[in-house]
Amino acid sequence: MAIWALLVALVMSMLVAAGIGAVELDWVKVASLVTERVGIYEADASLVERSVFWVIRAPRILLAVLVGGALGLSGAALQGIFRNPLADPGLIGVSSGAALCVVGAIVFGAALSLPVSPWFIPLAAFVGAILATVCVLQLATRGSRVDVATMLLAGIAINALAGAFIGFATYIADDAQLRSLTMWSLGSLGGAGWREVGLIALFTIPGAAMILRQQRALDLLLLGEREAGHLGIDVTRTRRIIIAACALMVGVGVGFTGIIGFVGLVVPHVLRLAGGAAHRWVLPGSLLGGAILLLAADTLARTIAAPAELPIGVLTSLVGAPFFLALLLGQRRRAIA
Amino acid sequence: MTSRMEAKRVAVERGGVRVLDAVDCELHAGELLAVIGPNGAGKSTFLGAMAGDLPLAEGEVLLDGVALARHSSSELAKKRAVLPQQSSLDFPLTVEEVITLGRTPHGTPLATDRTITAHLLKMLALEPLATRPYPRCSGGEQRRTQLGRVLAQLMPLGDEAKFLLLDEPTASLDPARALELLEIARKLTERGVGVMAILHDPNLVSGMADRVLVLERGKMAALGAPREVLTKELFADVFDLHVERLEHENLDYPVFVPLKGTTPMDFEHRLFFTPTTREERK
Repeated sequence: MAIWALLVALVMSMLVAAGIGAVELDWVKVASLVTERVGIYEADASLVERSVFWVIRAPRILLAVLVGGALGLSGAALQGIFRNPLADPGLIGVSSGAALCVVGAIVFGAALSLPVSPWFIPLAAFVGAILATVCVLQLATRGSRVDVATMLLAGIAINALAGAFIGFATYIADDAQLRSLTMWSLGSLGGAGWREVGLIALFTIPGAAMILRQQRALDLLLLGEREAGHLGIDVTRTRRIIIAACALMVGVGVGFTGIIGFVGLVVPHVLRLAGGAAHRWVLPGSLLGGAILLLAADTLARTIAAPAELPIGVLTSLVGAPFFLALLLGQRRRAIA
Repeated sequence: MTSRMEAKRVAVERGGVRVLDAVDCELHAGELLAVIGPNGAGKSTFLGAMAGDLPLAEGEVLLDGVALARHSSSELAKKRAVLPQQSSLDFPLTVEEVITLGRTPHGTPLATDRTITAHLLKMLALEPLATRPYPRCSGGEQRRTQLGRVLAQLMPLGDEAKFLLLDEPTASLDPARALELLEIARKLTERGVGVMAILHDPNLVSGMADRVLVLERGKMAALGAPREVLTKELFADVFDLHVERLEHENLDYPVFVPLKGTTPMDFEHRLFFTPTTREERK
C-alpha cells in the first residue's frame, strides 16, 4: 500500500541523509552503525565516523523527521477542521503566537531574570502556541459552534500583532540578542542534540497519536459541522483535541527550529492530489511525507553551500511557494478544461 | 406504542424574533409527512428543530417519548438521518467514500459497509461515478450522493423504527428524479421509516404524502391528509396563489394547476412603473 511505500521512502532517505556531509558514509555503513547499537552486528567504522554519526547526524535527522512530521500532520488536521485546504499552522496564528513568546523570551528573558535553559525557549513557544490558539478559539466561538471565518480573521490579527511585537523586540534588541533572534527566525535544525530530540519526541508522539485517532471524525467534518453532528460526532470535542494537539506539536517545533513554512500546506495538498482526501490516507501520509520533505530540505540546506548552512525556513519557502503556485495553476486549468 | 417523533408546542427564536411558534406535530414510523409553506414560513427552521440542531425557545422535541437532548448523539445517529438543503464539500472524497461515511454511527464490519454502499450506488444509478471525486460531480449527482449517504445511515431497515428528515430533497432534481426520490421515500416508509420532507410541488405532496403540515409565518396553518388539507382556499390564503383543483379518472389523488394572471402583485404597476414628477404629485 501507498503508506508502506512512504514509510520505506522515509527510512531510505534517513539512511541516505545520514551519509551525506563533510564526512561521507555509505548507507551500508550507516545501517551497520545503527544495528551495532542494538548489538546485532559490529560496524567497521572509525572513531570520527562514529562520532559524526551519533553526535551530529543522527539527532539532526531525527529532529527533522519529528518536526517535519508534526508540521505535515498538523497542516492536514487543521485543513480538515477548517474545511479549507489552504489552512496552515501559520495561517491561524499558532506559529506566530509561538514565535511571539520566543522572541519575548530571547529579548526580555535576561532582563526579567527568567531561568535561561535549553528547555526555556521551547516552553515559551508552547505557551505562545496555546495562548494564541485559545485566544483565537475564544474569539471565534459562538455558543457551541466555532465560526470559521472569524477564526481565520482572528488568526490574521494575531499574526499582525506578533509581527509588530517581533519588530519592536528586534528594534530594542542588543547585538547578541539580534543575532540569536535572526538565526532563530530563519529556522535551523543545526542545534540538534539528543536532549532536544527527546524533548520534541515527548510532545510530538502523543500529539500525533491524538490526531491519528481522529481520522473518521475528520472525514465527517469535511461533510460539514451539522452533518458530522447528525452522524454522531461530538464536533466541539474533536476540534478541541485537534487544536490542542497541533499547538503542542507546532509550538514545540517552532521553539527549537524557528518558523518553517509551507510543509503543512504543500504535503497534504500533494497527498490529496495523489490519493484522494480520505484521512486514513492523508493523515499518516502527511506525517511521513512531512518528515521526508523536511529531511530532504535540511540535508540540502546543510550541504548546498557547505561549510556554510542555509536557513531551512528560507529553503522550504523558496521551494514550497512556487510549487504551491504551480499546483494552484494546474488545478485551475483542470477546472476550466 | 408505535415509534414516533413529536414536536410539542415548539418555538424557535432568531435574534429575538419568533420564527417558529407553537408547532405541534408528530412524525410516525412508516409515514411520509410533507411540510409545505411559502418562502420564509419556517419550514427549514422546523426541520432544524426536529433534527435537534436549534435551541428551542419553548416546547420540546421527543423521540420515542424522550427529549432529543437526552439521547446521546451516537445513539440518535443510529435512529435518524438528516439530509440538509445544501452541503458543501470541496475536498476530493469520492462518491463511494461519501456514501460510506453514512455508516459511521454503526461501527459495522467493513465488508457490511461495502455491501450496503454497493447496493446504494446501484439503486441511485451512481455506479459509474463511484470513484469520481465529489466536487467534480454535477449538482444533481451531488444531491443523489448525499441522499445515498443518509440512506446508508438508515441501513439496515426493518429491525427498529427510524426517521429521515429531508430538507427540500427535490431541489435541483429534474421531474423524473424528483418523483424517483419520493418513490424511494415511499419504499422507506413501507420498511418502517418515518420520513419528513419539505416540498414545494403540490402535486408531489398530493400524490405521495400520507399527511401534510402547512406552515405560515412560523405557525401551523393546517395538518392532515393532503386530500382534505390541500384546497383552493388554502392555496389562496396561505400561498396567495389561485389554483384549480382537478380530479382525473386515472388518478386517485387531486392535482393542482396554478391559474394565470391571479398573483397578488400588481404587475401593471410594477412593470410599467413611471416615476411621477413633483408637479403631478401636488
